[in-house]
Amino acid sequence: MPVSGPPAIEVRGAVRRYGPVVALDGVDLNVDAAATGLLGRNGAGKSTLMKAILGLVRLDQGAVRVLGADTAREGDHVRRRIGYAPEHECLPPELTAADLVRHLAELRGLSRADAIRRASEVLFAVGLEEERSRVIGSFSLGMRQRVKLAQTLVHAPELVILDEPTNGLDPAQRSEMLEVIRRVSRDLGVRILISSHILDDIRRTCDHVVVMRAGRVTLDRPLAARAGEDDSMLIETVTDSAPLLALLAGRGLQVEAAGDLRLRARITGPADRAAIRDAAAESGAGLRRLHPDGPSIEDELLEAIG
Amino acid sequence: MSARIHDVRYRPFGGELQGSTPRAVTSMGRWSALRALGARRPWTAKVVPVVLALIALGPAVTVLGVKSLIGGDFAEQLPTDLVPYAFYYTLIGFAIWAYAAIVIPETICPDRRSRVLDLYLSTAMSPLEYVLGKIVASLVPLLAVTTLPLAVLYVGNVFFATDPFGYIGDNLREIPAILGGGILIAFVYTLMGLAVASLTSRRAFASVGFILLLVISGLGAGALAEVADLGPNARMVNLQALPVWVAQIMIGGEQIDGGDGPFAAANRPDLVPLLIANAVVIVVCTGVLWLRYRRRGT
Repeated sequence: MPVSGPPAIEVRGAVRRYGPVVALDGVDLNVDAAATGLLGRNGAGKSTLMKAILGLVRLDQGAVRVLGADTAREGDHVRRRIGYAPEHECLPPELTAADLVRHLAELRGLSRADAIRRASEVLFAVGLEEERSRVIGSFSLGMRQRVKLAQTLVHAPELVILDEPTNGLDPAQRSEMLEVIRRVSRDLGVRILISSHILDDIRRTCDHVVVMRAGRVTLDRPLAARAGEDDSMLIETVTDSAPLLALLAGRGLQVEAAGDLRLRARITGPADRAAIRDAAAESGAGLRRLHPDGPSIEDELLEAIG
Repeated sequence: MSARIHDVRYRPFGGELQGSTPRAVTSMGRWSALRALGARRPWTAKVVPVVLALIALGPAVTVLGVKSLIGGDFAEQLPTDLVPYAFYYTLIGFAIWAYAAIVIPETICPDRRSRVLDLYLSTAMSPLEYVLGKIVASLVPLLAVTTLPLAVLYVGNVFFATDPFGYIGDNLREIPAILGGGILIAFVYTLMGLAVASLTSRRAFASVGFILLLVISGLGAGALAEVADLGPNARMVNLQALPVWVAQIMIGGEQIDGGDGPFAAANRPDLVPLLIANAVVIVVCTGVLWLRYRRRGT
């Protein structure tokens, strides 16, 4: 489903201090991808930024606009248009999943009939249809995280904010949760902002990543490789690379020596990769490794996280 | 070319969100009141509120039962005010306190304990809407023990009167007084109960704290009036009786005898100090609630 409408989040010069600690230090940010990851170590400023986006903390300087509305002046309006799942446990154990989601739907303005229908729909969408009549106290942590996700969706928000949605989950639960989150943004057309300190969670669920360190944005980029970014490849060979260099040059590839057993080639598509493979076989050079020349996205993210 | 059908049984919500303060307040009030009264919970959670409500109704049912059993001429000879309305609170004071102590913490403590309060305040509603919803959730059930019994007694008295319309005409001013008095008692105890319960996430602590507040204020009032010899007006600090005294005056006038015990007329301060004391209690409790819920948070 396509994502449309105004930019989900615009942050301009956001500064927030807690005494001597600067939690946000001049953050500028535009969030408009289907799924955006907010990555950073604990204490990097992610939670404060999320609270600022929700209008729950007052900024010392700067402004945040969510779905076109100023969170400082129209906080209630903004909060009703978005869904939010806090990191910590926040579900009443004595209620059933269906009752809780329905209750929150009514509080957010749905009629009783709509609330019942929507609660059923969103619990199905997160894979809790069978368990919707069980009390939340009997749920596993993974199921409770899904209930938290379901309640964010029940009033059909334009933006959903998830704070550390895989916290405390075992590997299997985590994998399932990430799949559900990905489906929400991809199939249900809901824009998502996910906060996490786990790189893999962001890579598996998001199209765009924002990295924070010490209250600043240190990286803001799409997760897919940009055009031209990964087109310079390093070819490492087992034996002398000169015959391979000659063969590749003869086939029109831009290639140069980068050491005794290394070549640097410019790749423009899958056909070039196939040509390298074939030329290596013909020359008998033996391919040891073929990898992007320069830092990978992971390298870049890890450096930005610090 | 192949096609895939994704059945996610999910449609973007096409209806209109009816976001408004009254709606959020009534929705929160309804859910919380039902939960406090034991709806969708084990039967053990339902027993105590039901039993206390029955206890509060007991005197009214007894009086009306006696009238119906005796019947005929004997019933004519029974005084219609077998149990005067204003005196009724003396009979059920304990039930009102116990009901408030048990039901009110149930509306508010679990939210703080399970931290669902964060969820409410970060997306669904404002702190003011939340507190108003909890006031509704506490006040409406409390009316079952402060207003309903007297209303039942009044209707029964009308029913058993030889001249029902004459009875209504003679006792017309009791109708707003019974309603107003019951609402006042429920409102003051609701704010007191919520203020105490807002200080803890544990229902038991809140219940005990509310009862202790009543007991200690009653003892303190007695000490001030008797030991320090400051007179009846010193009993303004008696939180057990403050709203009940006002309700008794509303229903029966200042000459009404509240019987022995906490509501005795001899112990009752004058009306103006009583009203001021009730207003102070309301302001203080509102202030406590404001302090406890002024911040949205996660």
